[in-house]
Amino acid sequence: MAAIVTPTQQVIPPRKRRKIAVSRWLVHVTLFVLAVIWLTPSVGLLITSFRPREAIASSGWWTAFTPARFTFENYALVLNAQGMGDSFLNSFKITLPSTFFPLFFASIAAYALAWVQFRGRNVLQLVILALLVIPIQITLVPVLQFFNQFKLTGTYLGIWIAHTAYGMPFAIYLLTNFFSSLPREILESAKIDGANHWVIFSRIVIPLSVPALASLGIFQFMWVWNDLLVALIFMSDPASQPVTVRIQALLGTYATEWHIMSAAAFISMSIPLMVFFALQRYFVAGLTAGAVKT
Amino acid sequence: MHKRLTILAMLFVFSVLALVPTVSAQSEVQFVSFMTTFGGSELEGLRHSLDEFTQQTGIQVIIESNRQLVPILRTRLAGGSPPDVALIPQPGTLAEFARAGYLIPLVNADGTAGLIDASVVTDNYSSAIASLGIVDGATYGVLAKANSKSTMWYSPASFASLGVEVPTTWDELLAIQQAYVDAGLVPWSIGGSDNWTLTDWFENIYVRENGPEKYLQLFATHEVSWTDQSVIDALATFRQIVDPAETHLAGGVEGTLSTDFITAANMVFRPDPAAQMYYEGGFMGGIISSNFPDLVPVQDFNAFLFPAIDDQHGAPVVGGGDLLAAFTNRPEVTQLIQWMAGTEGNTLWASAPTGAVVSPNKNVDLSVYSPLAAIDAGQVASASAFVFDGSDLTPSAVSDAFGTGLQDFIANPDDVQNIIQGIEDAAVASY
Repeated sequence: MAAIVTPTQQVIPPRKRRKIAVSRWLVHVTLFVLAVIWLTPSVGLLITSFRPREAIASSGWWTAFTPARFTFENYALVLNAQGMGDSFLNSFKITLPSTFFPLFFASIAAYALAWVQFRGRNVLQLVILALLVIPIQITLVPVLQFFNQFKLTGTYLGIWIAHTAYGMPFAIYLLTNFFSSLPREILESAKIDGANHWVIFSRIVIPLSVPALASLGIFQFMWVWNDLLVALIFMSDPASQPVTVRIQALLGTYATEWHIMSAAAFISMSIPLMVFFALQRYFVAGLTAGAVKT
Repeated sequence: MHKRLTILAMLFVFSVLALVPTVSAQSEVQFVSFMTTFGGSELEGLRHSLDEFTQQTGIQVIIESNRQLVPILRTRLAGGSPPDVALIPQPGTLAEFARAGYLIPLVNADGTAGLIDASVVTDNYSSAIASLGIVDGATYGVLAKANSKSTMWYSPASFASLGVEVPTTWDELLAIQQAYVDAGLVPWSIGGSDNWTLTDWFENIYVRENGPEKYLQLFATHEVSWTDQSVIDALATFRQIVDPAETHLAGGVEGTLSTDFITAANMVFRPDPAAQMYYEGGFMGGIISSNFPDLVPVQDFNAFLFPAIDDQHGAPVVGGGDLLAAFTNRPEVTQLIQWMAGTEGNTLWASAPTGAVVSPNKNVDLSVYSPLAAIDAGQVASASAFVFDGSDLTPSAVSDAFGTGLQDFIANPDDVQNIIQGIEDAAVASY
């Protein structure tokens, strides 16, 4: 995009300029249409979450404005539900370490895979890639048996280990690719200056990789925050269950409480959104920092 | 760099803090873990009874609520950490778990006490209800709640303006259907995108035409084949309702197959109704009344029993329910099961201010129910026979083929031969 909108130095013939304007216009329209299509279900959900239960049952969300009848009652219902505050705290207790550990271990592993020469590196890389395609559902039973053996079932330590392990293959894969794309010259000059692997890793590779780490952090945070399955299997005690599990317990057997579901979805969504906007700054800053370097 | 280090440090402190409560939570309180699909107001109803249990015995009941109970239970069983007790929604699953050796017998096959005495079961349940929990002679489960799936919901005002009364026979029902069509109104709303609404229709018709014994031979044991004449006849009866779809069903074929069961009910009871009658289980009463709080049960919406088709078989109730089963053998578990099977526990659950259920316990007085629950409870209590929902009795591959087959039937009612052959193929591969 940037290359298209700043053609100031060159002399461009009018015909070509018109072509560029048309293609720009086309891109904008396409983006706008895609954005509308993409957002419509979420907007519908948002409107639904503010409608009274009776109205949700009677008509679709697109008729909500004629006549306009909105309420905060659905949100009050969810927020005042017993144990909701505790479950938010539990979600943080589960999600923060489960985001941090895979980032920490995966970045060390990825550095080794990208820049340290050792025997069996390719085989190891292949094994990690293979782990990427194993669906977590088929690992639940053996992992649960393993956890029972070590009394980890139902503990925070257990679920951190589970989420870390499930998140690691992708994290290692992504970071290895990113690290190996860093310019070899920088690392070599550091080596000449006498830097060991730890110094190169912590002073050069990590600061250069903030965009990759930030995006991985956003992904991992969202996966763990939104996770229902792993929590249902490994966190059986209601006192330590996260928000996702608490919310589904607000719904009956037939999940007919649409007013609760829509409000709860937005309440649960608010935290990952905040994380996204908070980390987005690093994300963009990291990108431009890399671009200016010569 | 410094900022990152502080974040790091904070995360570690947080992690350690999070570990502390799990360590200190070791205490001497007795507890039973209890897995169920109930959530929301249903859970409040169950709690109403269990809180009293905790009050009397000091035993805490930890409820784990999830709506995918069977797959999660399977995983937890295979992984070796099942809950103490669970409410299992299908007799077929109960039998499977019992034969796999996962369940503790409540009463042994020779009549001696397992977790509880045989008298606890016989004192509280009719033999038809008790038999639902028996696998190979031993009792592994007791039906903790029941519901009728033979309720036809209607608006009394709409019946009054049409000048008709509640039908008791199939012919009377067809007459009402015709009267609505003649009046320019759409008689039925069916939520066919949830295909179990269609299987429920079929099951009610089948048991009324063939009786409970043959019903079980078709659904439970597959002694009767799906290509049997009785299946073809039942489909022909169902066709009287669904064909022609343009005038009989709200939304025609496409509308029916793209409408879920809740929306279909809403279409009958919303201010500007698209249809006049809706058939589904007794549990719809609670859904309708919470979706439309202004409507007064019985007065503004009501239900009648799915009408009899053949005098010989009358109108048996097709129903569902949840069976309480135990995975561990501890004295607290025994106490909980005795409570859940007994009169006091059942009466409290049945009379809960919200989320009351219909209790299959024969000692629960009908007067404890709210007017709404009384509709359902009355049908269960006075049923000439009670058969379990057929699609919960068949293997899951068959119930899937059965459900999609009936969706095909709505679209192509002439294609009966192919449809029943498809279900039969699934059945041959599954039994």
